[in-house]
Amino acid sequence: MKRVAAHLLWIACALAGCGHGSDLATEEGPLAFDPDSIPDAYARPTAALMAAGATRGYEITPEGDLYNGEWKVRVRASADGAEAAAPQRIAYLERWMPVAAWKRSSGDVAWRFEAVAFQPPVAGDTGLVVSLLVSAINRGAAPHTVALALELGAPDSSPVFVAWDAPEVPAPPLTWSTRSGPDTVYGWTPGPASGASDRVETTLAPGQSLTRHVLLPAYPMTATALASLAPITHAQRVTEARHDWTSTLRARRAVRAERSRGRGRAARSARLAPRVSRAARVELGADRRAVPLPRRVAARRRPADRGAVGGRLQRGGARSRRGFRLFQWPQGAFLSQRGQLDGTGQALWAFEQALLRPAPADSIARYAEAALAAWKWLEWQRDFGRQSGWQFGLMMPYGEPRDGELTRAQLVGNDAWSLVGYRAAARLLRAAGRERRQRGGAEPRPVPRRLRRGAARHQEPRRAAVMAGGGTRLGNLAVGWPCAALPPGDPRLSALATRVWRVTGGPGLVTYGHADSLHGYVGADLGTWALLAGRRADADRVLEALLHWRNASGAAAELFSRTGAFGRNLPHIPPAPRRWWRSRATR
Amino acid sequence: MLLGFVSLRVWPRRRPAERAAHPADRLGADAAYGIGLTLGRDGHHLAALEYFGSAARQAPDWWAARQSYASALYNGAQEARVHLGKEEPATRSSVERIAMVNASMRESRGADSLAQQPGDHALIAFQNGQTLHTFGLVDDALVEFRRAAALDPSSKMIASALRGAERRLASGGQAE
Repeated sequence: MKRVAAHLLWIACALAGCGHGSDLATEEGPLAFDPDSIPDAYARPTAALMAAGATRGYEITPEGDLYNGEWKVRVRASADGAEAAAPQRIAYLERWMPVAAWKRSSGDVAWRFEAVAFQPPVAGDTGLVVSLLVSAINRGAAPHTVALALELGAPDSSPVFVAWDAPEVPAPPLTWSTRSGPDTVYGWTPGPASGASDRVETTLAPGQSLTRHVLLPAYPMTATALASLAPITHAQRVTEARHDWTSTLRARRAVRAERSRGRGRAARSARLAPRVSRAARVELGADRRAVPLPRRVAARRRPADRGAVGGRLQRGGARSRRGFRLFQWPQGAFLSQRGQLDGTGQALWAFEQALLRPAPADSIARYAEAALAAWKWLEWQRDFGRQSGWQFGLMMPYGEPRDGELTRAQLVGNDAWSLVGYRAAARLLRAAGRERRQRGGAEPRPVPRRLRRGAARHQEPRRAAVMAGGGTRLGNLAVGWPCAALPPGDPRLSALATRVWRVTGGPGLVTYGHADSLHGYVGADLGTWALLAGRRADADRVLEALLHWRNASGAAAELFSRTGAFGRNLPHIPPAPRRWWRSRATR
Repeated sequence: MLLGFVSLRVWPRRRPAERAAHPADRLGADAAYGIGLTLGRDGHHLAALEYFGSAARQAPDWWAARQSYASALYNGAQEARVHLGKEEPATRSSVERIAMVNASMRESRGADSLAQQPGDHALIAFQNGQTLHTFGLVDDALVEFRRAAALDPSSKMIASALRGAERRLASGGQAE
């Protein structure tokens, strides 16, 4: 119905002759915010243009170009032959909504760029199209000759990312389109354009401006399909996007602090983007930190709120659950990557969080079965280790996650998450009505006492370091929260926090590997633990650090230097665990 | 409106496109198997899949074809490529990779049900152990290695893999 309405709107606009994509200064005015006023903690600006369900998006590069993993749109903006400087900031609207703006300048000429992604039916259910509006205004007292060239080209020789399904050589060759037709094209412009280059040059009198509206698809499209989107102005696209994103992310009422609210929305918008459509829609990249909120927090809500939030979580979590189930092995373990044994506990925890609020979901039976298989695998691991006689046989076996740990060892985090898995499996089975068999001993108890004792004994970080013999292991940061393998007041958790925070000079983000490094999110778990332990000042400092280390589009980098250099690991993390500030807001 | 309704009713629906025949489909089982082996030796496991699959379909009682197909699935899940100047997995995402590994294990069970000789069963168990070990299920891998060693005590390759797995597990992953 929504798509039909959108078609009707486009037809109406086309009949009315609105939105001609000309170079005139039109009503397609800029958004009322200055991107350079939005803070960016990192050394280079960048942002993503994305949409839920799309398998590609665009990166706005630090140079101000646009790149989709298959081809690059190089933006050459100049005045009197002098190329405009690279943007200082690339900011989202309100620092969370994926409507991006950035500025460049060449002498008296100020350039402004705005871009927003949208998903028209003609782009397919995995595609998107970017509406890019470029404007230049002469703020000087003399005329200036301005030139804007938008050149379609191959990716850089060493690209940061590539689209998995991009051909090695575009076929047909990269070319702009200016009109309808059956040809496959890579961008639409009002023209004139020649092949891969769209260039306009004019002289601007003082105060005069130039506006250029182009469309950039994430996948090649037919000229006819792309041209059918041109009648809608950029301003209308922005209005649609604002409506869509705000309605999608509505009802964050519990979040009272304005900054936290923006951060929460940024997290959710970033979470939505990895949902992709294939044979079945699968939600990928749903970081465990961004999925649910703690049961104890939900329980403190008013009943009406609790029901609403729970319903949304169940609906929203359904895709996550289905996605997670794809990673279950015949042995019962959940494993998405080589050597990452914490996946089993994390998957069960996600099922528990999403399925049990506000009441057990209808589909709980099959997830309880999956949880039971996982529990059996964990129990088998434990029994196997016990019989082995190995020194740390009661712990999960060694792993080599290749995710920055730089070691192969028995990792404390695997055990902590396994405990969570036990707890979640027990609750899922109980909710599925399997209590009777549980009493009979065929189903898991909440947390096996012996395993808890065994694992807790080894959760002291120095012991873990001895066992590992080097490398970086921060799975132990999750022991206090969210795994709750030890109570918040346990002195070993205080010792862990003291040791980790000492390296960085106090509570905040933590290092990961090199002493000059900061990690964007693993320290958040320690902040939540501080809150639960009653160390509110420490918790506040962690939150302040999380709030600080954002770019102007609201994203956080995963690993970076203290000067804000993130190398090739682009900021892409939903900025902070929602549950973190949610627990703050409701404390 | 009437015309539109009529056109909807009478306009022939587009038929689903038929999959183009793969060259492997035009080969006999032995020939397809041979090409699969050649491709696999060169590291083109994903390309070998169709050939092993064709061989297994044409000779459903041939355990080696089935097991080779299983191995191609497992190896293909880990195949890398240089794409547009960037090294990356040849498969799109972990969803596909884990699905391939699961399919590999299913095929391997099928091969095991067809195999007759203890040495064949040992080889299948050994390869299962390798799959599990590679993906980090090291306890499960050890069980498979032990089964393989019991089935073929004369195999130095299996014995070596078993010793290595036991050493690493006993040392918490520290031993090479």
